[in-house]
This record gives sequence, C-alpha cells and structure tokens, in this order.
Amino acid sequence: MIEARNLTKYYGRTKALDNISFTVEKGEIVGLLGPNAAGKTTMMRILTCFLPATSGTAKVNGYDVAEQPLQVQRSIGYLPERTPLYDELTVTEFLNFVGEVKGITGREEKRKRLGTVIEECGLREVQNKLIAKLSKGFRQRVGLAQALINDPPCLILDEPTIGLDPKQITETRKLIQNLAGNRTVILSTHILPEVSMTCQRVMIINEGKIVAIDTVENLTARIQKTVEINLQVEGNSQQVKKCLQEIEGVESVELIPPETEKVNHFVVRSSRGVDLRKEISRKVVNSGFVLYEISLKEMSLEDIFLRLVTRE
Amino acid sequence: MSMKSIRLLFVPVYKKELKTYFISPIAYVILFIFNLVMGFIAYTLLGYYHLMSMRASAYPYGGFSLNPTEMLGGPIFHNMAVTSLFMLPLLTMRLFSEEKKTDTIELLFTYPLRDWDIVWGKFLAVLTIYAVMVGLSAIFFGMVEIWLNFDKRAILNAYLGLLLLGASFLAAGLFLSSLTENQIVAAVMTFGLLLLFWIISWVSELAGPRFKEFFTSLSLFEHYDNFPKGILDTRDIIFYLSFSALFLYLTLRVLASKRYRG
Repeated sequence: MIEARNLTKYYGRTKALDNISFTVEKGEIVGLLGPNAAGKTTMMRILTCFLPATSGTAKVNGYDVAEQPLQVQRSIGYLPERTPLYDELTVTEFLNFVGEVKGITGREEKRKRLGTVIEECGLREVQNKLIAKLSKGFRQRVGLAQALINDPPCLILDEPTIGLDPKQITETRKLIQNLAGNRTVILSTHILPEVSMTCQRVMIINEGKIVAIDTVENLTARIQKTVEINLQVEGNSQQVKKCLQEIEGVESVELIPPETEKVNHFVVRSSRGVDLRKEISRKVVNSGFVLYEISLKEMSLEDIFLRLVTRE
Repeated sequence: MSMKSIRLLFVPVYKKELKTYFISPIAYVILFIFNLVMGFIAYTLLGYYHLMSMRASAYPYGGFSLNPTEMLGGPIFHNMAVTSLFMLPLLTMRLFSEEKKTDTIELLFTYPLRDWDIVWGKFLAVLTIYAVMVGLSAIFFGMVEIWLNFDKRAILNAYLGLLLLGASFLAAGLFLSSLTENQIVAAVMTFGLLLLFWIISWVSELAGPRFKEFFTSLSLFEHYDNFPKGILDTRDIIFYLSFSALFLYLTLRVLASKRYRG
C-alpha cells in the first residue's frame, strides 16, 4: 500500500533522510518512532506530496508521489503536526470545504460523509462551533475528521496525541484504533506505550536512517539477549540464592535490596535467551521455599528505543 | 476521477476564501469604509457641480459646457482608483501570509489541489469582493441619474477599467503575500510596489525622449485615464491583463519553489 524506495532528502546541505526504503502492507498500522529531528515529519511530508524527495521514489496506493500527486493525495488522509485548522470556520463549514476539495461531489453524498465522520469522531456537540473556540482534544478530532472525510485507504498522522492531557490521549488513541478499520495507517509519536498499544509494527528512525522496522515482540527478542526473571521467594536469602545458582543455565542471581527475613526479591539472568521459569519454580518449591511470584521481565519499548537510538 | 472534478477544483477554494472574508469583519469594514469615503467625495463633487451649473445658468447657453460624465464621473473614478490603492493591500495581505503563519498551508498543499487551483481560487475571491466594493458605488450614479444625463457607455467603460486596474493591484498583492508570513510586511510591500508603478511615469521627463514612452506605458494609472473618458484601447486592456498574469505566474513560481526548499 505504501512503498518507499531509497528516499533521500536534503535541506540545503543537511541530510534529513538517508536512503530510506520500507513497505507498509494494506491494513497495517505502523508506528514511526524517533527522537526530534530524526526525519519523521520529513518522511510524512514526502509521502503526502508536500515536499519532493531529493532522490528515490515512493508509491502510495499504487500511485507515484512525484508523478501522480493528485491521486496520491486523494488516497491519503493527513493530519499534520500541531493540527493546523482554519480557525475562522465552523466544524461543519470546514469539513464541507475539505470534502469538496477532496472530490466529494453531490449534495447527498457530501451530507452522508459529513454525518459519518462527525459521528465517528464524536463531533456532534461541537459541529456548529467555530474551530477557534474548540478545546485541544476537539481540535485533534476535527483534524482526524478532515483526514477521514473522503474515506481514504491510507492515514498518515503526525504526532496525533501531542499536547493533549492524559484523558484526551487515551480517547484519541482509542479513536485512532477504531478508525483504523482496514485502513493502512502510519503514525508518528514520542510516546512509546502508544506504539505498543496501537501499532502492529514499529519503525524506528534516527538521523534520517531506519534503525529498525519490526513487530514489538521481534524487536524485543532481537535486542534482549539475556533473559531476566523476577522472583519473590520466602526463605533464608543466602540459601535461596545458593539454590538458584545451582540451576543449569543460570548466569547470575541478584538479591534486590532491601534484604528481609521473609520474602525477598531476586533477579535471575540466564544466557542465550533461555526461559528458565519452569526449572526455577520446580527447584524453589522442591527445596522447601515458598514461591510468591515469578515473572519474565519484559523489555519495555523505552529500553529498546534507547538502545537502538543511542547505540554508537 | 472525472475530468469535470479536476477542472473545477478551484471552486471550493474560492468559496472558502469568500466565506472567510465575510465571517471576519474584513470584508464588511472595507466595503463600508470605501463606500463611505466615496460617498463623501461624490457628495462634495455633486455640490460643486450644482454650484457651477447655478452660475452657468446666469448666462444664456452657459450650461452647454457642463458635461456630468466628465466633471463628475472623471474625478469620481479617479478617486475610486486612488482609494483602491490604499485599501486593496489590506484585502490581499492575509491570502498566503496567514496560511503560512498558522501552518494551514500544509493542509492546503496536501489536499488534492494543483497550485493553480489555489492561486486562482484565492484571486477570484478577492476580485469578487473588490467588484462588490466598487460596484456599490453605482448606486450613486443610479440616484443622480434622475437629474443628470450620464454617458452610460463611458460609465460602464470606466467600471471595466476599474476592474482591470483592481485585478492588477490584487494580483500583485497576492504575490507579495506569498513571500512572507507577516501580513503587515505583505501589505506594506504591496502598497509600496503599487505606488511605485503609479508614479513611475514621473521619471519619463528625465529619461530622455527614447525612454519617455516606455516609462509612461509602465504606469498603472496612465493606462487608466482613458477608461472614464469612454475610450476603450486594447493596449490598456492588454497592459492590465499581462500585469495581472505576470504576478499570478510569479505567485505560482513562489509556491513551487517553496515546496522544493521545504
């Protein structure tokens, strides 16, 4: 659905994108991660034909961004960063304008599409208000509504939750998930949990290059060479530690302070990505200790992100 | 995608721009103030004309030298042109500057529109407001028509000239608005440019015989003088049309280069 091949973009002498290639399949939701000025916005602007690439090609819905911009732009709903909107219009006036621009002709069709997006984006109560008077959360929804008005197969959302309060963030996230349907979505964000919550695949870019593009699970597996297991065990701490170290495959056992008389927290590391939970639980119980809790310590997306981006 | 929908893409832009002018008080203020000033000027001129005709009536056949089209219409149309020069930069200054300031330009550029649709839609919208603005002054001619005999063709001709002159002002304003995100800067540059193109003929006396004609023919106002007299010269029409076309074209170039520079 979206295909980029060797995209490179220079601003003067500054290289913003460096030979980027990727494919996004139909119906996929891809999260675009990266520090500020990594090239996220530039990439989105190229895909929406706002900027031309210095070299390389990109295709959206089968249309070339350089050769067939009108067709590309009709296939895309785009929400730019900071959600610029025409403040002097009301929500309905604005959405009608966008609908006409995007080629919705016919009074009946226009009214139907308008009704649908107003319903989908929860804009009913503000539909006749001036956009200038809306709260940030509602502005964001209007931004989504204008992207959706002509029912495009692709959505490109540049930081859709930035500047919202936590409640609005959750609402917007839910809205995006609901709206995605069978659309292809690329969304950029700083907020990492957002990606693991909404996206099937993650693309991490840094300094104009793709550092990684994969599912969250695969990325975790790839980076996480040592497996960490958290344990809460009741018993003499030194005896428990000794018992754990006897298990085959265990590399190190760490007692997490504070050390107590009863339940203690241990972290067991094993090499070569082996999950030792079965062996550990059996051994602990058989040795007469009480096992309160055992869990695999999952690497958060923050950890992955920081490792990839700050890697030398 | 049908051919029809492609060709008419400027229409929604046009409608939106027009609506924006009437939602904000800009259009109403400009229409009102322009016609207030014109009403005052017309009233004063009518008063003088009345005085002169009273004096002329003291002599037999004295009234024959009084021509309302020339003595009333001429100065009224001249003053409308000058007042437009003051007003129109304020009408065009927001066209692109505001979109750049508020980043809505990114929306506009990522909608399925060609640059041409955007420029043409915006230009036609301000041209419409301008036409309404000067068109309202026709009420005056309609009112005094009861007592005075105007040369209707000359008056219509003058309105055509006013429209062509205004189109040139607006095209220049649109272009300069595309260069900056500051509306005041756009307005001042437009005003300065138009003023220069008005008084450029002053240099023709100094430029020597060879360039005299050249500088005179560049002046926006020299070409306008013929219209209220009832003279329709294709050279004047072509001058205004090419002046407007040049600035619309330059605007397109700016939009294209902005995209490339990012």
